[in-house]
Amino acid sequence: MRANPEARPIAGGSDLLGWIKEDVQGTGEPRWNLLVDIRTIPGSDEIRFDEADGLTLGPLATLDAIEHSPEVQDRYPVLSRAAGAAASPNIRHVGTIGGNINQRPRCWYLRNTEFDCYKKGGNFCFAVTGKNEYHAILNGELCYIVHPSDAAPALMALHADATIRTADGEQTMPFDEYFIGPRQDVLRENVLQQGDLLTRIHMPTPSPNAGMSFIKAQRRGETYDFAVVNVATVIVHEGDQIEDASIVLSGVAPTPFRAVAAEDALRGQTVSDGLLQQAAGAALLRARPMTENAYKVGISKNLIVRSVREAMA
Amino acid sequence: MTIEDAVDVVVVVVDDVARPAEGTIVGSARAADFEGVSQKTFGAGFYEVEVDPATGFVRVIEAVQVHDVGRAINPMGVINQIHGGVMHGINKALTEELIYDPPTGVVVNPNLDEYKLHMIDGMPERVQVDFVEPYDVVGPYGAKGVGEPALLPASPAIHAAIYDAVGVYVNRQPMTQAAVLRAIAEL
Ligand SMILES: Cc1cc2nc3c(=O)[nH]c(=O)nc-3n(C[C@H](O)[C@H](O)[C@H](O)COP(=O)(O)OP(=O)(O)OC[C@H]3O[C@@H](n4cnc5c(N)ncnc54)[C@H](O)[C@@H]3O)c2cc1C
Ligand code: SF4
Repeated sequence: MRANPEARPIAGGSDLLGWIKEDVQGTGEPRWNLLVDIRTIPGSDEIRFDEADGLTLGPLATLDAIEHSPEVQDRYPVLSRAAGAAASPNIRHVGTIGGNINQRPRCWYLRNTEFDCYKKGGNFCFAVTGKNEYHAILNGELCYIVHPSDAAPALMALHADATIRTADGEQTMPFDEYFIGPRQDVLRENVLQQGDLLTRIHMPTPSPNAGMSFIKAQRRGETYDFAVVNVATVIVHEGDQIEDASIVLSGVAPTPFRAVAAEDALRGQTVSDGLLQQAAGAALLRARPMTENAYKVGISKNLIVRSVREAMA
Repeated sequence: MTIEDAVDVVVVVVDDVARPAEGTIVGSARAADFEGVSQKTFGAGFYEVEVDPATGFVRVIEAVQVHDVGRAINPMGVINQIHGGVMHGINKALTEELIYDPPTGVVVNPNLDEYKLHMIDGMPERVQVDFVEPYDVVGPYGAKGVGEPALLPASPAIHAAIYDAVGVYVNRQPMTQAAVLRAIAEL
């Protein structure tokens, strides 16, 4: 794969085959001429929980298997719900967690062969002058995609690590550093280079006092729809007293967005309506909505408040 | 008035029309006598919605729709048509929209991924559809039609139901989250 710039790993194919079928191409997404099926790697779909070590996921574990794993449901409910909120039951049966994390964005200009935008190696972002109701309100620059994954914010909220295999060997990093924005490289959404693989996902055992919540706002019903905004929240608390907070949103920025300002505002405090409003406001302070998506600022604040309440219930 | 009472009133009014005795052979009535006479179809829809003020998301939870169809030649077909109209009308009110990129005129959602139709879970939990059969002198065998009429009641009723829920008329269709939240903000 490394030697051939037109080779691509394929897992469940639910995202990759869509690209190929629609014939979307550009510098960041050439016309792939060789697909390498990685599902045949033994053990790559493991879901293993160990009280001392935490949860280990092989990248080929399907979203459906993760959603229904008893250990994940019991100890990592935010991940079970996030995996179950993605796409539709049939896609979750073939779609893998590795593919979900590495799926390409849904920007309707990017996925349309008529528009040669920055992300395809062109020199314009059509969302700026066009229809951007579902684009980014935070951290956009050159490109204003939103990260499409439901699983990614849950992994980040759980402080998961990614292990990747590159030309230099194996490397492990927190998911906070795995996703990269357009400022770093507009052609990619994460650190992987041509030929690299995500090989393992690992996260620690959550504190027994951790409460979790995953909420997804979407355009219709509960199936088959990407998030307008979603939020994954883990709150470690004793009654009303918050010890630690981990809050990550998707649908708002080119990478899953950790609401650091909200986490800081909540840590060590006693929960109250005023505190939650203040924390949510702080998280969205730097939002710079485009012409049609200011409504996402309100949704994001409301969901942060709702999810902290839900996690502490 | 509950939805049930309202429906009773409509059914009584529409049923109160003379119809031929059972067994009468009426034949095709599309005769020269009726050149220039148009058929009038009637129907009524009653919708109940839930609006989440935090996200602008609208869920239709109950739909009742009754149509005057003339004679129902295939009653099951009529019922199915009205069910389809309910779903189609909900989509029209809430999600369906062909979106053009303004500078270029290119459609940015030319697929069922971005052109949003509800899936089956968008159908309200409670759907009740019915029809009345006043004999129609113009249509064949006393029938009228229920193709397009079945689509019409949902969207105005949903506009009104949203008004009833949050006190604001959303002035566009589809009523996406952005549209609903904007309307609430301007209240
Ligand atoms: C109609 C539709 C609706 C959807 N809705 C949602 C939604 O609401 N929320 C959501 O989160 N997702 C949604 N998805 C995305 C779906 O979850 C992903 O398509 C799926 O998880 C991808 O998994 P896969 O195994 O099929 O990946 P593939 O399509 O096989 O791969 C996707 C990409 O990841 C790369 N890749 C896969 N595995 C690895 C690896 N181990 N290392 C490096 N690169 C890798 C592939 O090369 C490819 O570029 C939707 C998809 C569709 C088609
Ligand atoms: S938001 Fe990004 S992907 Fe979409 S048109 Fe702009 S540059 Fe392209």
